[in-house]
Amino acid sequence: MRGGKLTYHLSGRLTERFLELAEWAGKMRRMQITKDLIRHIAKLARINLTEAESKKFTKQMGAIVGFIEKLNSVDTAGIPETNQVNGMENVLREDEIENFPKMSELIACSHHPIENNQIKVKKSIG
Amino acid sequence: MGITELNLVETKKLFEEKKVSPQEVVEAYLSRIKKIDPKIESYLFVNEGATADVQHPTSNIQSPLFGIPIAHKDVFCTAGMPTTAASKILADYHPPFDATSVAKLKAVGAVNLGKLNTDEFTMGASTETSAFQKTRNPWDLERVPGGSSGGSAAAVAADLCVFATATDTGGSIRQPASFCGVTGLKPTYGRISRYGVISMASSLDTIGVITKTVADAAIALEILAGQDSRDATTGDALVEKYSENLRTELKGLKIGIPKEYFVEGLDSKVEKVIREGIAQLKKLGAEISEISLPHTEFAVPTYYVIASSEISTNMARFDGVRYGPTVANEEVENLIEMYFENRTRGFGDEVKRRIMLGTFALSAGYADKFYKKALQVRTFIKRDFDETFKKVDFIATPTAPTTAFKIGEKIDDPIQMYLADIFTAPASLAGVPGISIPAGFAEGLPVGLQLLAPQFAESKLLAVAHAFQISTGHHLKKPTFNL
Repeated sequence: MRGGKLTYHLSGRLTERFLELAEWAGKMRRMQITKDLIRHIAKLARINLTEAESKKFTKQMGAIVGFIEKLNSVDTAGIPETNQVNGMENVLREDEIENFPKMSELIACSHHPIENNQIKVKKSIG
Repeated sequence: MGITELNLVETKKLFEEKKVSPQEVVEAYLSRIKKIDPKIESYLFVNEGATADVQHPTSNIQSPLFGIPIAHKDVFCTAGMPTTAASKILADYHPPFDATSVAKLKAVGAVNLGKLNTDEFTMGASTETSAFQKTRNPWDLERVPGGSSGGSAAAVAADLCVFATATDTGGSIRQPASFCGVTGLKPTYGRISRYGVISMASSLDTIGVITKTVADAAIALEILAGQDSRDATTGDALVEKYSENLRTELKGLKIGIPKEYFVEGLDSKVEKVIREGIAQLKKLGAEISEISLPHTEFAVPTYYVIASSEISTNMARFDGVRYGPTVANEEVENLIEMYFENRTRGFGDEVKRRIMLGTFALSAGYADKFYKKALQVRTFIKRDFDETFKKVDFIATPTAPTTAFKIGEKIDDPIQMYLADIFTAPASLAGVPGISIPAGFAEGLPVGLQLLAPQFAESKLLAVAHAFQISTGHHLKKPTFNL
């Protein structure tokens, strides 16, 4: 964790353990969450941040990433990833065409001008 | 007893005995909402015309839920009614279709009283991140109802609907049910169709209900569960007659108590209530033993990496093009600028935080270290449950480490808020069903007991929960308000 001690309302053993592991993770390879990194991520996510927000999110994200880094203390060599939790795989159906009956109502949800059932927006470049 | 104090089973009985009409019941709930909800603020939208909806063309007096007033968490698409996910980015969205769950309840006669408040896009554990209003806990109006289904839990606790639909991704049904002293059922992942429900984290989101009793939850599950061609994660597991398999005793059943859930971080007054609950399970005939879920301490960080990553993907569709408010084309130079403007203005802080965390966890250079790692730890967490269920039939735990905290207490410390999910996140990662039932009170505030079962064992889970509920009666206590 950065700087001083973060006080948790959930006191005791549980929090101590988190802090122990976060410290361990920090010793291993501290992830530097800088303002530049936050600005880069925000850009990828298509979100503008004010100066104050950049500062606030940098601090909060730093703490959160520190908290998450404790996962590095788990030895996962050779362990498969779990993407799907109830065992379903390759759910297929015939490629049959259905006409969606509410096309005009769907398109009416947009506030942009509509031309030929298409939503008209600005050009992507220029 | 006032009409609105009755549960689903009792209300249906009144209809069958012709002691009251569905219209009178709907009217009673609407007028109670008008009187009490200004204090609770659970509803984002009230369907003032609900009484007329009793005469729905596709249902009749024989339908299982005919005339029963319910409400939906505001992430369930309800045709013609606002569906906002409690976010400015969907502030004026009126879907032209019903979610599968909404349609199923309508088809059996349930009357939709309106849309219930939630944390914005269901991201939170207190309903405080809602862009529109903060819902209050009916047991103490200065405290949170929990989240994200805080509107659903508060409305059921305050008798503002017979039951409510809700969603649970990391604890969002169970934790608010615990804080509000009501019953919250999160079935197996994939048990109920997610079609038409605004997605948060697709491998974790689970549809469920918050009800006044376990017996009510069983009836609701019978109606909602089942395969849906529009949701490929719903399998063809049999939908059982859950309401007919309820038990009153637990002889021969083995219940495991995980030692990792009883560490010092658990509030001692909450622990006392839970221990009494476990003693009660023993009294009912269950064999209690200590078990271990060794990877419990990694569940919250694992959950937040996976959930945030999936969130960053699911939130990408909100850009003001197809739905929601937008800056005018004339106000921006190009499309990308429009995306930035709409998303910046439309999303609240918590949503932005999680989108950024997910974007980071999935980005080049970090995806292996964070996202892939979390998926591997998820395997360990799921295996913990698989191994445990070879030895015991159920797991019993506290639902939350504390009772309802005060409004504003945790909102500025994200990690604090995330730790509220400490006992609910593991079951979400493993996809197993869980239920939170009222187990008593600590300093006047409700405490929930969580029961977990193997995947698709909802029948047995509800049976055990029912036995506990009937023998203790904690669920019968109601909050009182000074109006």
